[in-house]
Amino acid sequence: MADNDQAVPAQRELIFPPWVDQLFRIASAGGAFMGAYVVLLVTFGASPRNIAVGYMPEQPVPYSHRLHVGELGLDCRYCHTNAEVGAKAGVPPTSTCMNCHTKVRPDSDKLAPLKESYEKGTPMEWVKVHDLGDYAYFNHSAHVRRGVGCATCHGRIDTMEEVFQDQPLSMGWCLDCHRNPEPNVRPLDKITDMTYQPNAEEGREVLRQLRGWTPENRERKIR
Amino acid sequence: MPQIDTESTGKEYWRSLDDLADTPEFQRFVAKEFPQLTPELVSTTSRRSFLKIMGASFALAGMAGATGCIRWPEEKIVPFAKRPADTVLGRPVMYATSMELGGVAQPVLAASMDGRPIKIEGNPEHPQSMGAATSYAQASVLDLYDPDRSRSILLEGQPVDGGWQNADFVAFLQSVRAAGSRVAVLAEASSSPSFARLRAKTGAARWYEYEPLSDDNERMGLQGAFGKPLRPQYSFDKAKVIVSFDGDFLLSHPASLRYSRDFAKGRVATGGAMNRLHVVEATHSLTGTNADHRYPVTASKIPATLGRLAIELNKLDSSLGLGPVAQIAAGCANEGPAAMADVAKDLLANRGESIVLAGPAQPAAVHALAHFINSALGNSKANGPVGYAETGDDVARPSHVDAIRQLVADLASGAVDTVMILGGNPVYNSPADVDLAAALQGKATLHLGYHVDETSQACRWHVPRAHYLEAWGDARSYDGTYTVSQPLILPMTYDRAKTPTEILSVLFEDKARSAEEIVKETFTAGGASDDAWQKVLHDGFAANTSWRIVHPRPTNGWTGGLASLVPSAGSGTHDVIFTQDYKVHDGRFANNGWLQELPDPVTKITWDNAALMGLATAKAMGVNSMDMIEVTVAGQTLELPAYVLPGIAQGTIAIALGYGRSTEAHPAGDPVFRRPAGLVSYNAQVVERLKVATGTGFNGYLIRTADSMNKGSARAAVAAGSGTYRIATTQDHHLIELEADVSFGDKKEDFSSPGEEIQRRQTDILARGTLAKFLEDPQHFVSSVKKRSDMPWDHHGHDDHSHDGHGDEHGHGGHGDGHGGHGGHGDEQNLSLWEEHEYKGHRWGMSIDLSTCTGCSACVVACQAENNIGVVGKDEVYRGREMHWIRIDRYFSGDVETPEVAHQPMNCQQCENAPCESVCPVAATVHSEEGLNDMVYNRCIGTRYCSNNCPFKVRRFNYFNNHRVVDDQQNLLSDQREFEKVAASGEFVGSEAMVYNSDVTIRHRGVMEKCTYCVQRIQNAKIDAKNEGRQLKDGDVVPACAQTCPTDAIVFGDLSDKNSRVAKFQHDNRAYKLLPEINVKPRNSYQAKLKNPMEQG
Repeated sequence: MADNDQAVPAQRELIFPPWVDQLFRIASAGGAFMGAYVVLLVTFGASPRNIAVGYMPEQPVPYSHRLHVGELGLDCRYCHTNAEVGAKAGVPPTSTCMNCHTKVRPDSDKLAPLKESYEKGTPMEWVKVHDLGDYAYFNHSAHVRRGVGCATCHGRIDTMEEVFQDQPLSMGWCLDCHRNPEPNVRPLDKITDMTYQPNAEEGREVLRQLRGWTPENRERKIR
Repeated sequence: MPQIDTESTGKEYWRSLDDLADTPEFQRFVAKEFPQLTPELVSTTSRRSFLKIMGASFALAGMAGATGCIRWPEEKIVPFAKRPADTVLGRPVMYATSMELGGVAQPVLAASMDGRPIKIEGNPEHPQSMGAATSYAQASVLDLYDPDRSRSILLEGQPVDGGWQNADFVAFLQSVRAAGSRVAVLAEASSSPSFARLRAKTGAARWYEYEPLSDDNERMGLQGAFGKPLRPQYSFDKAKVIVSFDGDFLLSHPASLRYSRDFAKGRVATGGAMNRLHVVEATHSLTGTNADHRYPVTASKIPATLGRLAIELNKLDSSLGLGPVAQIAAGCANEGPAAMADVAKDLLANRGESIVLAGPAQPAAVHALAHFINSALGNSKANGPVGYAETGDDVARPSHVDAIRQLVADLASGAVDTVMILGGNPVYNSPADVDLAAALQGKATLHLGYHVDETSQACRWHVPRAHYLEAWGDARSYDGTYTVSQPLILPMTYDRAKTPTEILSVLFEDKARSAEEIVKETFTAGGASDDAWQKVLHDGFAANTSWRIVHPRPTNGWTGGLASLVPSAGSGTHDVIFTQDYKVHDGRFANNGWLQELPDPVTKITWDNAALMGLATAKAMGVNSMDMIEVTVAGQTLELPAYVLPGIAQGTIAIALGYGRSTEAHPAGDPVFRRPAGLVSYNAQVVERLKVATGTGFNGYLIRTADSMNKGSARAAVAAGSGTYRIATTQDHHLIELEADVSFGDKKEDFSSPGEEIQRRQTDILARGTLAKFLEDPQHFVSSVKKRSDMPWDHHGHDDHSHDGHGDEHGHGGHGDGHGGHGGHGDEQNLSLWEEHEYKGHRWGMSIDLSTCTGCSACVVACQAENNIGVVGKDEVYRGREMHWIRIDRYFSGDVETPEVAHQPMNCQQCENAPCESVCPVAATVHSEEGLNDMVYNRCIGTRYCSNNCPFKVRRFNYFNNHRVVDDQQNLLSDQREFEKVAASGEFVGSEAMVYNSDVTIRHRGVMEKCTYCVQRIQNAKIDAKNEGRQLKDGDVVPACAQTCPTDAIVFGDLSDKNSRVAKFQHDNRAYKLLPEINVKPRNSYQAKLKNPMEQG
């Protein structure tokens, strides 16, 4: 015990050398930078604007909206019949495809899954592109019948060879429009028009007419 | 059981005997905000191992995060290959159909969402439903998806190859046809005209009909009194006085929906008049809880009590023609309560406008006498409240008890050697002294059933039965209206499931036909056009096809059975009665989680039955609630737990039927399954266990003898048993209770004890009074029945003063002409810490009428089905973690042996100044622009502060993932290999997930939830109205609870619309809101309960 007592300097305080101050400053700055970097990385990196936009999964049949809508000029509602009346727009049943494809290119290899589905009555399995959270309550008819055009959320479908997600469909993005609908709504006869450019002037007029419908719409916000 | 000194506690209201006695255990239970969090209740996992597990979970979560935050899992869109015409995706299609229950059609509308039946509602156009549906009917949709259903044709427990084409099976079916009079058909009661038509083709086959719960005694009694088969049809809306002898017409009766609606019309003091209900009963039925006067009489003396009533009537007025009856029944003169003299007076004062009725368990003589009294009083004259439907029943049909006895005798004598059991579970529910299982041994037998159950195990062949949502059918509702059922989905079985009608066609017709063809042929046989058939399918019934109502007088010679009214001194010490269960009926719904978890409307027991007895009986036996007792009837002993329910007649023990379905819950050797040894070798893997029913309750059928079915009760020897049994009851859960240390302004309250103050508050929570008091001063009725009437908050208008954008809310006439008795002070308000909300559009509100609420609990099941509410199981209920968004609080008051009962539905009150909102740290519960307290589930982090701060205790927390079935199904669908494995094994995984309402989010573990006023229905109605370019009308939005309420006690609507029903009800003389002193301003209002007792003296 005695040896040990001598080995320890008596009452000597631990004093950091001056360079520790410098190290501390550098470490703090580095830490702050890394913290901000991680926050920014997560905020922007994981935002729907970067993760969801551009999502283009492979579909069982390479259906081209560019061909059917852009070139042939099919109206959106020929297939998505439910958009004006229900919550879901609805992917068409196989039978809708076969209205034409029993005559048009019936033997194409690319259409084989469709043909099989039609003959056996088994459904096609399309991959969902526009996928909202299960907690979101979204109703197509409520939007389509109040001046929100297809292209506003889905983009220029008529130019897409394969469908991809054009808008972030995030909550902030929804609110942007709900708080300021004028520049985003269009006359009801232009709903499926892919080339129409919504503008605040016409939008205001549309909202003026629509708001006469119910008392809740008298206030500015759209619920 | 707590020691109860009823003199000293002085509690006016109590929810249970523990509450009344104010035991330390009870105080502790209530004092804890989350009794369900008591560590020893939660888990046996130690803190250390918990941390270890959590560490591992975090590590895994990190890894999943690395890949998972890119995008959530891929989802598929699977459209129809050929979409049916006129479907709107995501919107349910309603089909009018019906469920046959005990031979009576229950008319319903079934909602089909993208081809899945998801909800059962009442058929608003049908006179027997008027939009309401019973708990049974609403929960039946869950049975459709029951993963335990049988799905294959089985031979001695093994699935046969080829199903219906299997050579052995085909040969068996042919042998049945050839067997002639050696074939017995054992059927359930059915009113299906198609079934009856095919029955005529069964040739020499013998026919037996059996139901464990039937109205056969009533049928026999009326047949005796009138000489032909009649069925009484009561018009409760025409009756001023109703005297029921054990008749539970408000809930277990097949016509309870219609009867409840009619009865409720007389309970709201329209024009200053109310009907009056006297109930004589042994157990405590729901009808008894609604009585103005209830007379507990031990079961064996109920017939004598009716005899005494006849004698009293004869004493008061000998011109009634009851003299001979009084003479025969003279032995009854001193039986039953002396108050029968008052009842007799009441009846005489309301001649021609009263009803005397008896319950289905009562012996035939009681029914005959009840209707003789009706006739004597003029109640059954034309347009009177009592009429009789000519059912055209077969006069010669033996009673169900006689039929099952006869079948066993015929099997024993060899007259019958082939038995077709078309539905039901008679091996389980036949009388204890009729050993059907043994009689079936060695015979050629077939059982058609939903499950592989006790009867299947006693039979050689088993055929899966089609659920009513999978099948065509027809039946008559209680009034005889021709009602059809149509399929919404193909049978979810491997071998095509069939209905009894289809089986008859397979067995006895030259070419088996589909039920659709048979039913349509039945309807169009009378020359009806195809258009008429389409209309019937649309409406669900054929209008004006009810039976003719006649008003005959009793014939002579019916008095033979009267002598039997006088109770004979039998052996035994107690009367035992066997009652229809409010949840599982006769046991047929035992595998239904919604019904098992529904608190019994009277006892509040979940997942079990028990031997119910009154306090005096329990004291005499020296047992407490949950102590095991032994009940012995005719040499058979059943062990089950006692449960003390105030108000059950002394000397009576009531046992609900339908439980005790497993050998596992009972000691070895207990003949619960009564499976004959060595007959059938069932492969354990094939015998699908009834996963829900297993382990619940005790089998009353084991001691229910044929004799007791005829008499309505049995004498039993009862002794205390050994051990205890844990019963999960919700009666003390979620008690509204506040710390009482408060003072208001300069009005200091001296609260000598918190309990006293709670009692005083209870009169605020549950305001009620008598009709006489109400009529004295309707405007101040509510404040007069509240004990704390002179409190400062009562001087302010208690309506929620929202700053209405249009400025028309303030000072609208309501304040002047009496807001539930609160004197008007214009715009003066209680000082509030909160800013008032502004409303520019709708303000949703609800009003619940306690006068008409019978407590039937149909709303609880409706809410569960509509809002995807999880089933948590008995253990979790025991911990107080049930998830129901609306509960029915049941309060006893008065004497412990003859208590009065009041029911109060309690859901989220959607407070204006919501205490839950102000404490949520993450804004997961927020005020909507229409006044709802919205829950934002994906913000909720589960602090449970909101629940802590809720004065009404209506918030529910997901302690576990109660919707695992959805995860199971999704995992299966995303894993191809696993999917193929399960598909090959023939197991049904996740079929219950098909019942979910896709408009309502599934809540995961760790999330708080509560009543939303069915916000999805509000939004759908609003969008529909906007799409159609119109304003919302009153009545466009109907929450699930209000929709199914048989008495229309729940009214919902827009308070901004001054002409809406709900706005009028909220400003009614009887309206009041809960806990005005804490100024939370609930959106719900209640209407004070009125009772109409006889004037004293």
